[in-house]
Amino acid sequence: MNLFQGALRAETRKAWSSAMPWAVGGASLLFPLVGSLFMVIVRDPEGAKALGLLGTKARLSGLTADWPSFVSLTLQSLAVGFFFLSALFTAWIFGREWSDGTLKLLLAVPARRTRVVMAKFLVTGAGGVCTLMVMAGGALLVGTALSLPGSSPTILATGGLVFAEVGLLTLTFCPWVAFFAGLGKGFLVPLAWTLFTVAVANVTAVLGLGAWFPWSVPALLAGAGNSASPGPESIFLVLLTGAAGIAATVLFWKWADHPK
Amino acid sequence: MSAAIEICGLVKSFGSVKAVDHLDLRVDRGELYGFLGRNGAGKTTSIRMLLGMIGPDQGTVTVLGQRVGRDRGPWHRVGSLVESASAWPNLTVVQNLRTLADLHGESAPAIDEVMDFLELTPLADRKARALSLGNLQRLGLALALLPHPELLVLDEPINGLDPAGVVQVRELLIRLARENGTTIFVSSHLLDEVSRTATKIGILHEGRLIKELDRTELDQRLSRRLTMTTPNPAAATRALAKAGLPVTAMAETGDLDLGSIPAELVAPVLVAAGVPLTRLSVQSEDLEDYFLRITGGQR
Repeated sequence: MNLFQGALRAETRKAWSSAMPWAVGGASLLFPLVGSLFMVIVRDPEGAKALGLLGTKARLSGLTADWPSFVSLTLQSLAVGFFFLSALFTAWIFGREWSDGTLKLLLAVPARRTRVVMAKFLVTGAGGVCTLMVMAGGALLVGTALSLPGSSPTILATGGLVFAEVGLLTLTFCPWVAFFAGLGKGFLVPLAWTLFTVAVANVTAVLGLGAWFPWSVPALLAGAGNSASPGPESIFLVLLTGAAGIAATVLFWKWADHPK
Repeated sequence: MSAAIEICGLVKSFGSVKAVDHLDLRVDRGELYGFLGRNGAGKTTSIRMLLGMIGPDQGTVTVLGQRVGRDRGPWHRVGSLVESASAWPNLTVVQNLRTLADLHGESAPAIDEVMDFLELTPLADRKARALSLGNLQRLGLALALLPHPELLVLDEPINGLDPAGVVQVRELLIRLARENGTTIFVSSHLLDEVSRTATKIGILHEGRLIKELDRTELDQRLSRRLTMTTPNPAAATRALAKAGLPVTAMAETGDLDLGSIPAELVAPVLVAAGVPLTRLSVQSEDLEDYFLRITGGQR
């Protein structure tokens, strides 16, 4: 058996034997559900108010209860929510080796560390794509169940493309989370890094510099902040950031001392 | 044939702390090498450098004829258990073994074999997080044995094992060394255990190898002393002193310490002086005493 395939099998087994993929998949369904709640409130503000829901705030947001608004809401929640979920999954895939003390089992084995790291990235990526599919499927089901008006193949196709673009670009931030999992030897530092990037992404977006800060780009593509959609140079910057993150993580695993 | 382990001039510092200081060590194939040292002596750092987990500041490590680097070494022929045993907690015993086998390119039959060998078969489907400390240690050993290693590197392998487990591991190590010709490099703070199994012993102190002895040398160097118990120690002391055999009283027990005086010289003197003798025994200094003596430690 090829040692890369072996590493991939090992990482897949480790990922699927725990509750984490199910927890992430379940949490990803919250976002379309929250979107549907907004739709319900907007469609029947008085009824929602009677139920104690935030009708006024939802009305003030300028939403309408139709497919274009629902797609827009889903995309914006994707940009932030999926970023957190994918970061959590990545921090767990990489950071657990330190927190469980199992890193040493991966270091003196015939499967080279580059292969182990790339197998972890593949599992992370596959988990991310599955989460995206769950989110997209959930949104479609919820939107259909609410019988929202304004559905058209164009809206769904365009929304689907942007959804895929935002989701896949968000996944390119995972390597830096993985790098900080190694540097911080566990979960806390990568999660702190995630919060830090979200905070800076917000600030740069407000300052109008979001197109030049990779972590802002997916949210801008999703239509957050009503800013202009970032150009190809921004997309290139995001991809470059992801590639740099992969390189940094591989180099860290290969060359850093692992005394614990 | 090249040595199983050859360490030359190994140096490693963490900040201002020199963990390993110009360590030179050679372990021949088939040896069962006991690597001793107090806490902080540099044993685990040395073992991690041996396994390429830490890069040395200076020096080289060669394992089974191949130079070790951070991600380079003959790892398909080496099994290891470093510090406490670890396993992926969400995986069962058999899944842990399969996972490591995947990283080794090993086949499934090796898993059954090693589980039988360490009596883990009844626990095959139990999650590692639900194992007792002793069984986790057993799993750690199984993971180390999985690649059918030519060299087995074990750091404190009997930690957490019950007395039966300790005996089992001791017998396992001896069997692996004798029957399979496996070279075993084992560190332990349980000096008595090491003294029972090792064919060679190295003592590490403050990052340096201060003593290296083979089995015969160790037995010779462990000093022996004669002690005796008598109801009349004052008379015994006088009689022996008159015969030119100086003794000292042992404050804690009241026994007499005769040092290295041969036992056959003592008995006739006491019989001639009419001093009754309750006990006469030769006490060997154990490895622990020897270790503390040469590292300047105290009980």
